[in-house]
Amino acid sequence: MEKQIRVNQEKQKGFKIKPLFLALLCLTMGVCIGLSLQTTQVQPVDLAVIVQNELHNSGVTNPVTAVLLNFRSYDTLLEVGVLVLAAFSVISLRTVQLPRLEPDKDHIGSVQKCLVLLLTPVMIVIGGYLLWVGSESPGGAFQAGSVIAAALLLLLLSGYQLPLQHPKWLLRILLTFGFCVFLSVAMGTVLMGRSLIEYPSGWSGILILIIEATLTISIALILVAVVSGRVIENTECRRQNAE
Amino acid sequence: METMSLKIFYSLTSIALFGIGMYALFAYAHLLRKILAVNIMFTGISLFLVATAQRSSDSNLDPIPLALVITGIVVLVSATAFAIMMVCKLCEKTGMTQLPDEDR
Repeated sequence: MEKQIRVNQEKQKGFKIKPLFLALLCLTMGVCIGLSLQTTQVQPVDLAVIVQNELHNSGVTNPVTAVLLNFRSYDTLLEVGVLVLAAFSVISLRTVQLPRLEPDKDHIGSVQKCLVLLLTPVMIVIGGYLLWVGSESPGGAFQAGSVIAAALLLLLLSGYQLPLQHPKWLLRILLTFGFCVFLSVAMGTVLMGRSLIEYPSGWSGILILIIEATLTISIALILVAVVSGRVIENTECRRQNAE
Repeated sequence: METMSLKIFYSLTSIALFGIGMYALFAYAHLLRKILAVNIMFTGISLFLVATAQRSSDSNLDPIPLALVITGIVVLVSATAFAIMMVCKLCEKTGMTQLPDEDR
């Protein structure tokens, strides 16, 4: 501790020129980026028109969803892979395994408990709506998943428990469920002799809906797992300090 | 013409955000500040992508930068969670919130 304080003091003495230099460097870099944006006259490929022309083949009517889950769906596949990896890294780095938040029961007011009970069904319905509306207007699996994750975290922070603890493998299966469904659809299209995630014609709408629905569950639980890992240890530390 | 100047305004704001984030990334030794700096840099990049999503045609937004931003947000969230977890572990093991080679 003392060493760190001394280090900080030394730093405050010695670092008077460095921030100025750094600021100048960052400013120069910003000006360079701005100038390069102004001067480069690249004729852009009008991807919007291409997407608009191919939209009727995609199974959905929202261009962003079409790009995310049809035209460039391998991006989304890898992105969900990153999410699953992050969730498992966080789970393996923390000492307590499953999301069990136990805030002090005395500090939870009755207003909070009532409000959470009122809000949770509304938020889950909003999540479902966002999932369903994603095919024609802004929305989709990630938005729906984050709303549902917020509802679950509110529940956990208000002292309620998620019924996911009992079989130990249940949470892990649900965490990877969306990714597995997406991956098996991708492998299925390859085995059918098409290119990766090239949906069979006429099936794309229903396949996108299935993938998004399973992804919503997985994303919600991954976000809860990623957040709750930290809160657990904090409450435990606080309890140990109090003792 | 008005949308054009708005686009330039957003682009300049995004460059400023990127620069501020980069400055914070280099200037501060505390790892949590570095994580926040990366988040601010990402905000600049995504603002730039969204600002340039409307390019040549008047009506159609280019959906590909928007999809990239959505993908990027998710990757940023998972990377931030992992990084914060690593910082917590580092703090737990060594009691330091910065990397040892930074205390010159």
